[in-house]
Parts: sequence; structure tokens; C-alpha cells
Amino acid sequence: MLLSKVVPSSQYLAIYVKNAFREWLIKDAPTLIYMVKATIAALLAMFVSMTLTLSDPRTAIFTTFIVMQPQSGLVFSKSYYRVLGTIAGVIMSVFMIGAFAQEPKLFIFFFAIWIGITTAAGVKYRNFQSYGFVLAGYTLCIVALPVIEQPMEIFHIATSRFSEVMVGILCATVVSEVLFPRKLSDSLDMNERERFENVFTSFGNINSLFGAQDTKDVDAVKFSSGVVGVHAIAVNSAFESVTDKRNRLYLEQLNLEFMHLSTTFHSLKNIIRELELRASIQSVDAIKELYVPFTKVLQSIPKLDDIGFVNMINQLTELKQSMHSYVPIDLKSDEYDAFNSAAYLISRVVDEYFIYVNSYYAYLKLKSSGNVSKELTRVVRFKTHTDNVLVALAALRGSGVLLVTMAFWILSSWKYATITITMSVVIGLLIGTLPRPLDAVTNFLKGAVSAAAMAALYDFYIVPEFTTDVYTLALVIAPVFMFVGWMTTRPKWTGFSLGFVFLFMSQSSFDLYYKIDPTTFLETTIASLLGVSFAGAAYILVNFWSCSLSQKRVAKVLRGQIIYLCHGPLNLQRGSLESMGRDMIQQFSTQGRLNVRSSRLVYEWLLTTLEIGGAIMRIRRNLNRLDRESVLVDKTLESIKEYFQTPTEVSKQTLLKSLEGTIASLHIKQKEEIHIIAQLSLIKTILLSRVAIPVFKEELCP
Amino acid sequence: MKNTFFKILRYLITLSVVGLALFLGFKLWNNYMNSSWTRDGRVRAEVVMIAPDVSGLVTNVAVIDNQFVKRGDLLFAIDKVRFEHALAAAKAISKLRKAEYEMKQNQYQRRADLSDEVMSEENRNDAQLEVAVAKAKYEETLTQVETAELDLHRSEVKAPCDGWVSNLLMRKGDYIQRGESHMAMIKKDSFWVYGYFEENKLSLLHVGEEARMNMLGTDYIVKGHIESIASGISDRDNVTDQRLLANVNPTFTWVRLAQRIPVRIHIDSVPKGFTIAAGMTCSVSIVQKEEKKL
Amino acid sequence: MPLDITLYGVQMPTLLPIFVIVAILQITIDGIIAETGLYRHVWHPGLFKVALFVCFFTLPCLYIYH
Repeated sequence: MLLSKVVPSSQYLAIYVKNAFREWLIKDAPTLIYMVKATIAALLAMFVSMTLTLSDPRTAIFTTFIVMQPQSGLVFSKSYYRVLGTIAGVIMSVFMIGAFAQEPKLFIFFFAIWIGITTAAGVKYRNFQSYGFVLAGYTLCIVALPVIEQPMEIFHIATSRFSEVMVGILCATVVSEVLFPRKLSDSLDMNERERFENVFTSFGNINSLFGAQDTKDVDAVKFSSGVVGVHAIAVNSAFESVTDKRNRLYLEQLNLEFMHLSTTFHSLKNIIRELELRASIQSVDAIKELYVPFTKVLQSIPKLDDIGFVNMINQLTELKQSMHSYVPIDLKSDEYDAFNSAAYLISRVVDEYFIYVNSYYAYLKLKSSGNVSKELTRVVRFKTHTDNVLVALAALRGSGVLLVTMAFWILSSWKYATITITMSVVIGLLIGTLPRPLDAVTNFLKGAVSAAAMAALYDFYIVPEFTTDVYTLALVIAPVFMFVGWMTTRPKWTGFSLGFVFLFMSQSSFDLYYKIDPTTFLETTIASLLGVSFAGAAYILVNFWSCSLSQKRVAKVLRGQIIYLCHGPLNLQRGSLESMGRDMIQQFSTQGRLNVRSSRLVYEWLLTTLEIGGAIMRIRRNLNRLDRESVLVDKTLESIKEYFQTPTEVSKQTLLKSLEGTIASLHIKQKEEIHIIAQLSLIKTILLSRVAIPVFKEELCP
Repeated sequence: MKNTFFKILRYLITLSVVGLALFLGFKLWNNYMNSSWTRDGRVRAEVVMIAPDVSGLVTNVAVIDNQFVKRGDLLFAIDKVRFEHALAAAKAISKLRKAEYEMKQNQYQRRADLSDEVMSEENRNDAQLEVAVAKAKYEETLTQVETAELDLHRSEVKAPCDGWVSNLLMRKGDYIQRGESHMAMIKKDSFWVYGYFEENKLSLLHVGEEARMNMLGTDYIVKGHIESIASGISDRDNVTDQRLLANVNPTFTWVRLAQRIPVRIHIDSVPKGFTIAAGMTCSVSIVQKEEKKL
Repeated sequence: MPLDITLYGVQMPTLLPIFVIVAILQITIDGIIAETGLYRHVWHPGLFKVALFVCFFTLPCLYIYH
């Protein structure tokens, strides 16, 4: 009796412990491993650069922290761009010192131009490419400024700076490759699976599309940032040789197909919401009837394994055939159009989902067996869009900060003002690429102050008291490195950790000799903090960018796209259109200070633009295939163009009338005509619905 | 079965490559640490700093820059007129002293011949001593003549040994001071190499071992052997201050680096076609005796 | 092989150019191995790569410091 009671409880305990351990293994162990890896890399860099008597071992340690990422592919890619940036910066410094060391005016002028260019490029480019430009900018500060009085020193500083960076990078890459390596491809796989399962469950659930829950698309921007983010990781995985080229192609393809699917799904959702708001139960029910077979197919798959996939693909093929033979029921004109568009969108969802499932299944097969079942020939290009005004603003801010701090240097003629310049330029460059710069600068300042306190503790108490050689130094400093490693895994702490690393590294005693005196320490600390304040002030002052301005810019770009599609070349890929739009929205929501509500609005704009644009392209393609000319359709396209060029109520009415007339004039005889009707009614539905189109400035900014 | 085989193969491939890498890495490290060579070698030579023994205007520079001169060849000459005058004056004074000496001698002769009644003992003695004084004075002037002659002779500076004139900056018309070096001469066949070896490698080196010097940027190998090893270098962390007290560096390096000790290498043969010059850089590797036996 | 070489008037230990050449070689070989999928038969690709690099690097160097 007693025994039988004890055994299960101990079993429960075992299971409990096992589960807890598993959870720890998945959630916390990677962080711990990463911390240990970062620390080991930093200590290795310290030891190697001290053994090689490089003049500034701190740069090597600092490099490891900057380059270190949880996944090896990211480390490679960041290292690559860090090396490129350093080379560019070093060459530029040698050139500048050679050419303008004796002419302060020209020196400052070209310095400002260089900082402006690198800042602009840092904002314009994505991911670690941007980091490379940032580095090219501030390497100039680090190399050129300290030697402005002794130009002959430049070569020594330049070569030692370069070797330090190389040592740091080598240590970081070797450690991240050898010690518990985490592959970028693994996290990509996980990402992809998560995404696929999300889509699978939400399509299988009819309530995700219907039902009057007023869907707040809070996930909307997340959606597009997810697409952009996955693209970024996939690009970086190019540096990881284990993910071969075919895998990358598949990932890009899946990303694109997911993007299409999500656009279609959201458009469908918008139309249904519109109909639900109009309380036209009949049409909603009709749409539901159309959609249910699809969900049933998905629900009939119990498990996503080999059999499940084959089963699903077969059923979807059947479903697709039955869908095309569907004949629309009679409804009122507007509702008929809405229904027609919804029916069209449903068939598109099914089509696109079919393609997506096929690609994903092929990808899984490739992963498991290495056989290619679906050859990908077309290389999908991910297009980006950067607003030039945003870029120009960043460049202006970068150069402005440099000029102001230069003036401060000249006026104060303070020995350590160069540190102020470097610090403010670094912040201007680095923070400029982060979302919500002002908060980031504040966090940077906090990090810098705590690092100064920590560095003081180390420099004046711990290091002189407890260390005698490099091993004890490593032992003593390891906790701080661990802490830094931990911080870099927390995205919320980006600003703080940057500030901490920058200041701790510049103020701690990692020279070849222990040589710290309180006066220098205090002065350099003050200089650094002053630099942070200068940069922060620049972010507060040089900021005529506002939420409503961002909205205006986005609307203008989107409208321009529709207009371009009305007359531009026909071979434009839908993928490049969509990726560009998403990338733009992503950039504006981080750089252009959009609040949550306007982010959602802008996302809706994007969706409607994509739909209208896509419809225009399809109409034009079908028109080409049509055996006769259709003056009315041409006219309608013309009025669409007119409406988006000069969006007024009058032109809207003209457009609607033209749409109605054209739809009525076309007969359902040819396949092309049916397609054109579907597209035209889609445009009409969008125009009539409450869904926002990028036309009128909506006051959503506080 | 096949699966386990592949699994084992996976481990086997990786671990064998890692093992090989470890083996090679340790071997290289060992060889690197124990290889008796240094990149820091310099060709040195004995340099004679030539200074004139007299001051004066330079009237003639008999050599040109980088000229090879034999021992005893004229290098440069200093204005002679002053020394000729001095010699003439010295000779004149010498004649005067000689005349005086002869006069005193005659005087003494005469006084010695006189009887005691005429000449007092005192007077005779005085005359005798006056002769000695006049003689000494005369002899003094004779050495002055010799000195003037030497000065005249030394106004022509001659090469003390075979060698090359180097970095000739003296020009005709310069006024140079006695004892000031104005010309450097590199002695012929006096080249040797200083190899600066890390202190931890010093025990690998022995006097007499063969050394090969690879001259910077060339394929020439200069051969030689270890002549001697320096017994001391200065302590950089302890510089004696003005009051002769120790001044110890308060800072310390985190990583101690090996210092370098100069090792003097005698040059045995210079390859044909290679011009050796003092100050050249070379890397020095020592062929160890133990290695030769093997 | 000489212990150090001179490139454009800059003297450096021969190890340095060897390092660069081997690094380029390594990237090429790495790409080939990844493309042919040979990494499937390797337990720890990261460790394998580093070890491979060490082997490639030490062999010519051992020839110098024999």
C-alpha cells in the first residue's frame, strides 16, 4: 500500500524534473552557453593580442563582443562586414591624414562628408551591411583623430588597429564554431516550421477568417517584419557553408510564398469584415460555404508527417479543380462584386496555399534526404526600399554632430575632446540604425554611466589589489564579460549594452601595462559622457520627422506604385513588389516614428496597394491575351491612374462609375473576361469598403 | 548496422582530423619555440673615427666619398704655412740657444783654465752650472723643433688602415679643430653580425656553431659562426637615477615578453656578387651541432 | 623555404602569406564540401573545419621549421 503510493509520486517527480530540465535545456541553456562562449572568446582575444604586444588589446576584446552572435552564420557575416568597414576606414584615414593633416578646414570638411556618407549608407542598407558602413565611419575617428598632431604615427596606428580587429574576429569565429556551435540553418528551420504550423492551424480554423471579433491587426507589422527578418537571416546564412545554396533558394522561395499567402489572406479578411459590418449575412454565408471545404481538408490532416503531407496535397488538388467550376449566385450589385472578389480571393488562397505546402514539403524532403523533388530555377529577388528623405536626414545629423563636436574641440582646445568627437560620431552612426533612437541614446547613456562606475571599481580597486598576471586578470574580469554576454542576448538591452561595452572597454585597464591614473580616467570619462550628450542632443534637435510626415511619404510612394503599374512594364514580379512594400513599412515603423495605430493604418495601405496593383497587372495581362481591344477597360485603367494622381471625391466617383460600366459591359464568355471582371470588382470592393487606401491623410498621429 | 557504421564513421573522421591537427599544431609550436633563429640580425663593422691632430683650415681633401684607401694614403691636409712658420721660429730659437750654450761653454773653458788666484772657486762653479742651464735650454728648443716638425707632418692626415671612407662631409676650406672627428672609415674585413636572440633560445646556442644569414630581400646566404655571446644587457625596469639610486618601473606587463640578447657572429664567407654593408638587416639561423650529428 | 619573405619592401615571416593563402584555400574547400554534402559524414563541422585549417596551415610551416 505504502509502496504503491511512493512509486508513482517518485515517478511524477522524475517526470517533473525531466520536464523542468528539458525546458531549461531549450530556454536557458543556450543563453548560458552563449555567455560562456562570449567570455571565452573575449579572454582569448585579450590573451592573444597581449602576447602579440598589440598596442591596444581592448579593441580586440571589443571586437569579439561586437561580432559575437548566438549563431555562427551571423558571426561570420558580421565579421566580414566589420573587416570590410575597418579596411575602408583605415584607408580613408591614411588618405585624409596624408592629404589634409596641415589644413584643418579641408580636413574637417572632408571628415564631415565622409561621416555623412557612411551614416546615410548605414541607414540605407540593411543588416550587417549597414554595420560595415557604420564601422567605416567611426574607424576614421579612432584612427585619424588621435594622430592629427603627429601625422607620422598614422601607419602604426592603422596597422595595429587592423591587426587587433583581425585577432578579435578570429577568436570570435573559432570559438563560436568549435564550442557548442549553433547553426543558423537550424533556427531558420525552426522558424519556418513554426510559421508553417501557424498558417496550418489558422487556416484550419474558420473563426480566424469569420466572426465579428474586431480584428486588431497588431500582428500586421510583426508579419511584415517577420518576412523581412527571415529574409535577413537567410541572406546571412550564405556565410554558413553548411546551409548549401539549394536550401537558401528554398528558404527564399518559401518566404516569398508565405508573403503572397499572407497578403491574400488579409485582403480576404478585410472584405469579409466589411461585409460583416454591412450585415449582409447572405453573402457572408455564401463565402463561408465556399471556404469551408478548404478548412475541412486541413482539419482532416491529423499529423504533419509524410503521409499527412501527401494526403493534404492530394486533397488540395481535388479541391482546386472543384473550386474553378463554381458558378456565382445572384446577389445585389455591390454585394455581388464583393462576393465575386471574395470568391476570387478564396481560390487564390487555396492556390497559394497549395504552392506553399508543396514547397515546404519539398524543402523538408531536401533536408531529410538531400533529394531535390522540386527544382527551383527562378531566383527570387528581395527588393528593398529606403526613403531618401530619411537617409538625407540621418546624413545631416551625422555631419552636424561631427561639426559641432569639432567646434567644441577647437574652442575648448581640450586634449580629450577627440574622445567626445569619437563618442558622438559612434552614437550617431550606430544608434541611427536602431529603432527608436532617442530611447536608445538614453539607454546608451545609462549603460555608459554604469560602465564608468564599474570601470572605476576595477581600475582602482580590483585590478591593483587582486591581479598579478594575465591569468588572474582574466579570472577577475570574467564576470564582467559574462554580464556583457548576457546583455547582448536581450534585445531590450541593446542601447544599454552598447553603452556599457563602449565605455567599459575604453576606460578599463587592458593595456599592455597597468597604467591608470585617476585624472586621465576622470577626464576621459567626462569626455565620453559629453559625447553621448552631444549625440543625444542631436537626436532631439535634428528631428523634423514626424508621424504624419511618415504617413504622407508612405502614401505618396504607394500611390506612385499604383500609377507606375498602370503603364509600366508587364513583366514586373509580384514578389519584388511585395517585398519592397514590406521592407519600406518595416523601415518606416522603426525609423519614421510611427505609433501603433498608424503602423496598422500604413499596413492596411500596403495591403490595399498590393491588391489594387496586383489587380491592375492581371487586368493588363488578360487584356493582352484578349482577342479584341476593349476601350472601356482601357478607360477604367486611365481613371484609376487619374484617381491616384489627384485623389479627390470627384475623381473617385468617376472611377466608380467607370468600373460599374465596364463590369456591366463585359460578358462572361471568355476566360479572360471572367478574370477581368473579378479583378475589376475586387478594385471596386476595395474602393467602396471602409478599408483604408493610401489616399487621404488620416489624422492618427497624436 | 549500416547506420551505426556511418555514425562511427562520422566520429572517426572528425576526431582523426582533430587529432592530426593537434599533433601537427604541437609539433609546429615546439619547432617554432626551439628553432634557433631570429629575424632581428644586423650587420656591423668596425668604424674608425678619424680626427686631425692639429687645428686649421682644410686645404686639400684627397679622397672622395666611399673611396677605398690603403693604409698610409693621404686623406686630407690642413694648411701648412702656420706650422712651417712655427718650425722656422723654433729653429731660430734653437740656434740662439745653441749659440748661448756654446758661449757659456767657452766661458767655462776659459775660467777653468785660469788659476785659483785669478778665478774664485765660486765663479768657476757658476760657469759650470751656467753651461748646464744653457744646454738644457738648448735641448728644450730642440724638442720644440721636433714638435713643430711633427705638427707639420701631422697636418697631412693619413689612413690608419685599409678601408672605405664613409659619409664624407668635409670640404676644402672647412676649419677643423684638433681632436674633432670629421671622417668615418669602415675597416676592411671587419664585418660581423649581431643576432638578437630571445633569451629563452640562448641555451640552444653555443660558441662556434655555424650560422646562416639570409639578407633582407635577397636570396644570398652569408655564412659564419658564433664568435661570442653577450654577457649582459641593461635592465629596462631599473634605470639608475642621478643620485645613483635604483629607479624601478612601477608598472608591469600582463604578459612577460622575452628580451633579446646580442650574439656576435663572425662572418666566414660572403657569397660572390653580394656587397655587404654595415647596418644591413638579416635573419640569422643557427645550425645546431646536435642536428648535424643526426 | 626562407624563414621570412619580402613583399614590396616589407619583410614579414613566411607564416603570414601562408596563412592568407591557406585561408582562401580553406574557404574554397569548405564551399566544395558543403556543396557535395560531405558534412553529413562529419560529427562536428565547426571543429572539423578548424582542425582542417590547422592541418593545412601547419604542413607548409613545418616544412619551414623542420
